[in-house]
Amino acid sequence: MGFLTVLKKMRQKEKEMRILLLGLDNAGKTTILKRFNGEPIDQISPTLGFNIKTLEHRGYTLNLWDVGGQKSLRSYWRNYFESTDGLVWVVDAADRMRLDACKDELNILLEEERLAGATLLVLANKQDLPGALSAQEIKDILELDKITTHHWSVVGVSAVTGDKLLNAIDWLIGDIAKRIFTLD
Amino acid sequence: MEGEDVKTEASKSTVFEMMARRDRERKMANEKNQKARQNKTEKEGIQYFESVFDGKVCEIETTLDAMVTSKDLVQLQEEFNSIVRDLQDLQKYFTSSTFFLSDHKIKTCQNVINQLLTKSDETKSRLLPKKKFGFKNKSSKTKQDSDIQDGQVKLEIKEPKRKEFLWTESQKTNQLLKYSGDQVNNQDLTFKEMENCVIFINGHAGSLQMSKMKNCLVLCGAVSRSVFADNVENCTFAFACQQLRLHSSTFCNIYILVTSRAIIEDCKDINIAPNTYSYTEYESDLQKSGLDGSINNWENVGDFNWLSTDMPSPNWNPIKDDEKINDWSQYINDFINAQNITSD
Ligand SMILES: Nc1nc2c(ncn2[C@@H]2O[C@H](COP(=O)(O)OP(=O)(O)OP(=O)(O)O)[C@@H](O)[C@H]2O)c(=O)[nH]1
Ligand SMILES: [Mg+2]
Repeated sequence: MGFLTVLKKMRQKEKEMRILLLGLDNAGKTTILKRFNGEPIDQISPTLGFNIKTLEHRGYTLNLWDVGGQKSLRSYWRNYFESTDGLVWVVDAADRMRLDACKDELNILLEEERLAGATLLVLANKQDLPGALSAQEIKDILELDKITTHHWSVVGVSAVTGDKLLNAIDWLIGDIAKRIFTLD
Repeated sequence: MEGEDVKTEASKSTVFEMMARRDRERKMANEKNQKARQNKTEKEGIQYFESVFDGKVCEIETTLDAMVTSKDLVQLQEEFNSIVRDLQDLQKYFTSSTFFLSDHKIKTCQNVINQLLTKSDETKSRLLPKKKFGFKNKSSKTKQDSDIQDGQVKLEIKEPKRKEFLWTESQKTNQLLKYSGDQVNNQDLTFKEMENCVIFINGHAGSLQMSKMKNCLVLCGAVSRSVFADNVENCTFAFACQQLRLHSSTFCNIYILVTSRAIIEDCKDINIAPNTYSYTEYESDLQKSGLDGSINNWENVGDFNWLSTDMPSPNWNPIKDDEKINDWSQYINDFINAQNITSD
């Protein structure tokens, strides 16, 4: 029995997933986390460190890690890579100024060895704002079609209205589950 | 690597010495912890935190230092996994304690954790061969590869409507701009490369973004969510919002009502005061924006370049009473006259 199988067996028992939310500051990571967990979203401050939420969803225990995206915090992201099953890359789809930075930071993550096994979900957030770019446009700008190293998907969502958020997370969980729990 | 085995054998004894020493240290630390717990129950949580934190750090370090090469890769991997879990627990414990720690202490502790993580990574790459021993099974690897090919699921394929990067306004100088009603309400307003301009925004915007603004006066009602600005120089702003995020900016005067928090990063000479700017419909705009106008955390500015709580950030100051703008219409008129501004 190879190591991976052992690991899979262990995980299978726990049905636990570790999901990392990353993205530039102001993208809406914390708002997404709270919205998903059914908490109020009006008192959210910019994240100085990180937040962890453990919640049950569709029979799985999700460990959600939301790390601050401020420039000075990005060097700490690597501390959270280990044993990540799913990476949620949150994009402020209305932020015209920083799509290049957004693309660069994502590409750095995709090369990261410790994230190699993770499923990638790109959320084109803030779809409630009229100026927001669509999921398709975000896909083109970030050149997601070039990604061959990860399972990925892109979804236009709004953390404020909650639109499509649940669908997107369900896709992520489904993809992870297929990969780590049913490969015997 | 040559002489690896010899080196490993030779270093084993030093490892054991180190372990013994670390163990003594740990016991001492533990005793200290216990004493702290027993004798000084009323002592502050800080000291308790420190002893627990230091104890754990010491423990993890000892384990790491004691790790040696082994034929049993699965076992070794398990040990590393357990260290990672310990580190995550440590991080959790630390995070849950940050609310009573000084920013300086937070930075120090985070550094310690980071160093441990680096050390753990280094030890791991030294002891565990890079070859993916999990993929010995050729067929499962091929399967994985083909999965990846068709794994590119697209949940949403919208008609590609090519939206150019439209800005509400960009590259204007010496102008007076006014926005109101549907131009503003629930919209995301964006301004770029503006100089010597006065911008009035009456209503409740969804968000406000500004980039490369020089010597501008921006007077805005309520913004439901965040105001994001970078590379702003010599500007005066007034608005209500949920969050303010200001980056790489200098010499700004900001009159603000902020219901969660304002943060600055790479900023200097920022002056902040509670918002006093108003217009006829302001109260009703504030209400429609969904902001709780009774909360104003203007003074609780987070400076990402200044992590000490013991001393205030030198990068921003509250505006002194005698330096505040009292008569806004006078101020606006003077600004317009001084900039030789035309309305278009
Ligand atoms: N209109 C709109 N605003 C949103 C949405 N999601 C988040 N926001 C707002 O965007 C701002 C930033 O959201 P946060 O959740 O704090 O962003 P973050 O990614 O956690 O930022 P950092 O903690 O700095 O990394 C807040 O004012 C949110 O209310 C959305 O879907 N629509
Ligand atoms: Mg956050």
